[in-house]
Amino acid sequence: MLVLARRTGESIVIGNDIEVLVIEVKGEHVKLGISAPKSVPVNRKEVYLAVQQENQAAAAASPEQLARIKETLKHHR
Amino acid sequence: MKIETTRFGPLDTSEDDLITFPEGIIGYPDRKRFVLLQNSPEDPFCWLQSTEDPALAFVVADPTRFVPDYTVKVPPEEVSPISLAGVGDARILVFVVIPAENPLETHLNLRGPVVINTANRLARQLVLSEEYPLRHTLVGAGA
Repeated sequence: MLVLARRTGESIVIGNDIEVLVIEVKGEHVKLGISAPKSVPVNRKEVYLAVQQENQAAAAASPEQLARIKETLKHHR
Repeated sequence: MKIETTRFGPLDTSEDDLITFPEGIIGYPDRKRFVLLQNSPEDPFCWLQSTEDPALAFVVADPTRFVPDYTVKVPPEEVSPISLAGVGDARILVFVVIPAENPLETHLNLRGPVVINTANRLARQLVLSEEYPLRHTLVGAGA
């Protein structure tokens, strides 16, 4: 991993169109400003990981499990 | 074209049915080509089966069948990678998780929907804001 030291108000540039600016540093909290094309997803890592985990869980089902849940839903309607 | 699947055996699908995720699906960046396996238009559930990995298939669902007012609001740039021109071409699906140990906890991931551009069959998984629940439980939710 590339490690760079930056001060408040300084930034780094990734590629031609992504900029990460250090807006504020307060104790353990760092406020970052990110300028990137809207087509580049920017997410907090824990949100990204949570979605990834749900995707993995969605890939674990069997046709039998789906058939059973469909039956269950019928009775709960 | 013939594809192999571990759940459904060998399948015959048309090239026209292929859905391409140019960036893959979150957690599966190398799996880009899928087909939708749907029993009937009435069935809210279908399978998103990888054509590159026989063992990879996701249960997905039409969210509006369970959450009628579900809408995905994103800036147009978020769907520019799939060249989505208008809402009319968009088909929205969400991932369904059926916990093996507790099927009554089956839920929809409303935060990470898939948008398919039905005009060019390109698709992208979005990550929406935290007001969209990661786990919308189906049973007992008035579904």
